[in-house]
Amino acid sequence: MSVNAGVLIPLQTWGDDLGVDYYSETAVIFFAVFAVLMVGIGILASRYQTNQEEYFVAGRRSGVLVVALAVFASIQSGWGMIGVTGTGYLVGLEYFILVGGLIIFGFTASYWLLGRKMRVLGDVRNAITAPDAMYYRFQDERVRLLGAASVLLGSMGYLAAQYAALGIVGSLILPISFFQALVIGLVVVGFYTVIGGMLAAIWSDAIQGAIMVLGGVLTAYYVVTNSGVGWNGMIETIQAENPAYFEFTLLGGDGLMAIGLVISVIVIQATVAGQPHAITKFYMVRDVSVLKWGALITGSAYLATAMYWLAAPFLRAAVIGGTVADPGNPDATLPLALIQWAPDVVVAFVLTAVMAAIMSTSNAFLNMGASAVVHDYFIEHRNVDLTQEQEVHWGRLITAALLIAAGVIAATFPGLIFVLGAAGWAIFAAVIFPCIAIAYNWRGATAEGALAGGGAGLALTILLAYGGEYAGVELPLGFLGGQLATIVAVVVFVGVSLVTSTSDYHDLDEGIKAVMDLGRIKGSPEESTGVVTGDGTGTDD
Amino acid sequence: MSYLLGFPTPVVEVFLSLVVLFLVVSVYLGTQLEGTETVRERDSLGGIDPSEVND
Repeated sequence: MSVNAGVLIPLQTWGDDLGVDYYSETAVIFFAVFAVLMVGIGILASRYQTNQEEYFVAGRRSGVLVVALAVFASIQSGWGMIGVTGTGYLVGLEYFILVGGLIIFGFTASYWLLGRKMRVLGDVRNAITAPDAMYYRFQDERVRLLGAASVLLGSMGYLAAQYAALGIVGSLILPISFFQALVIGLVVVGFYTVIGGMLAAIWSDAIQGAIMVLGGVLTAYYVVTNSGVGWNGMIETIQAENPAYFEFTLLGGDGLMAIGLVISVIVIQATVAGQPHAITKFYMVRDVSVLKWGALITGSAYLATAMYWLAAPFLRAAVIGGTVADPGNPDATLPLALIQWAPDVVVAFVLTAVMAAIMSTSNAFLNMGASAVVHDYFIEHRNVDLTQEQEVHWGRLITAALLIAAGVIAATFPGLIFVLGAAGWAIFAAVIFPCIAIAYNWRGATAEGALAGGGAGLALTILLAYGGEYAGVELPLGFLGGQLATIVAVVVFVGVSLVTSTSDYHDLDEGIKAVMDLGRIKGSPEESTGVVTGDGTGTDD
Repeated sequence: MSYLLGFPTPVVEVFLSLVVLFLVVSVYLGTQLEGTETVRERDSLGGIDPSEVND
């Protein structure tokens, strides 16, 4: 845990060895059953893989439950369950409110800003990736390349982070080393994602999401009922020892020093609409109306997994009371609380749920990273002519290559989970949030604005996120590097767009104007410009 | 002074307020959101599949 100028930096804990001794045959059995289930899904989904539309957007025929749970599962990672619980254990309940209380609005904003528009864009332009959406909005190949680069870089960072976490949690569940657990995890997630494509990813996401929700309910029940201190005892014990734990203290900062940190955490939650693993799911629904209850389901599922966080105050009280030893590594908070208070079968189930969270996040990035290379770069940018069979073949090959590369990074630098993951989120937020979430809702956005804002955001994210780790760069007011870069990207994007004019609304072809004019909650394309139902679609580009 | 569930500060009240606001907003959006016809399958496209004529 890093302390910077009196400000406790959250998110930094997720990565070290948990330091928890645990072995259970039940956990091994649970993991084995889970792994077989995922492999079975991969085999079943592989039968549908006939072209890149099937491979990358699951044929656009998914229902609301599958898509809403897939959005939730791809956002809620192992960090959200174990890392957030650990940081909250140290910082206090304020942190949980900042994370859980705000991200649900991030989900809602994503559905509102982009749900209908991206689904219709998928129809009128056959778009299947986030860089596709960027290109069609600005009709500039440089913008597509910027999008593809950010998706590939962000995905690799995220993937390596997820696989390092896979090795750490896998070695806790199975009686094997970090490296062996990493390899087994890679084989499982690699198999079903490589052969089953996005269809396997969203089917498995939905199942994994359900497992994560059930695990949260079980965790809350056993922590509250079996901890021995009781609800009031927990509050009184912590209040006597550390009253600030229940107060709003700007995350333990000193005066204004924490403002930047709080703003950074808010920026993270607010930029869900810039996360391609969430918003590309909108391409996959069979109909726009399916999205009606998507935000409600996605947010509610996330709130159910917030119940894992109850482990933090109860373990804190038990440690103060002397009934449980200090976990040392705060990331051990959730596993330690479960091992202390839950039956073996529940511990095994919840740890399997954590593995599910990690896998469900990683399969989305594998698929996206591969689509950035195969679809965005080779097929769309380089105009390489592939048969449908070749599209799927190369999709699988690149997916496997990314899996191996990310696995090597994870095995080589397992301590970089936080840096890689946080940089991944920030790279997406700095490029895709302005160039898609804002651009599809603002006629004044221009290609120059996208290139300047996205380019500056991408470079600054890499500089600040990694610079903060390796060069000891300290930002004022506790700002996190990646999120400061996101703010700069949006400001540059808007500022440059205001003084330039290339590819703004009036330059767009009629089909994209129809998507731009489409209401966020009401209206149809034909009511906006009439072009989609006329001959405009056929004459685009 | 004791707040909801016995906490010494209004942490639960703040969190619940955010959750209730989320429920109101997401349910409102759900009731208001309208579908659109599936553009790809519309006859008015003159039988042209957009996937074949775009990019």
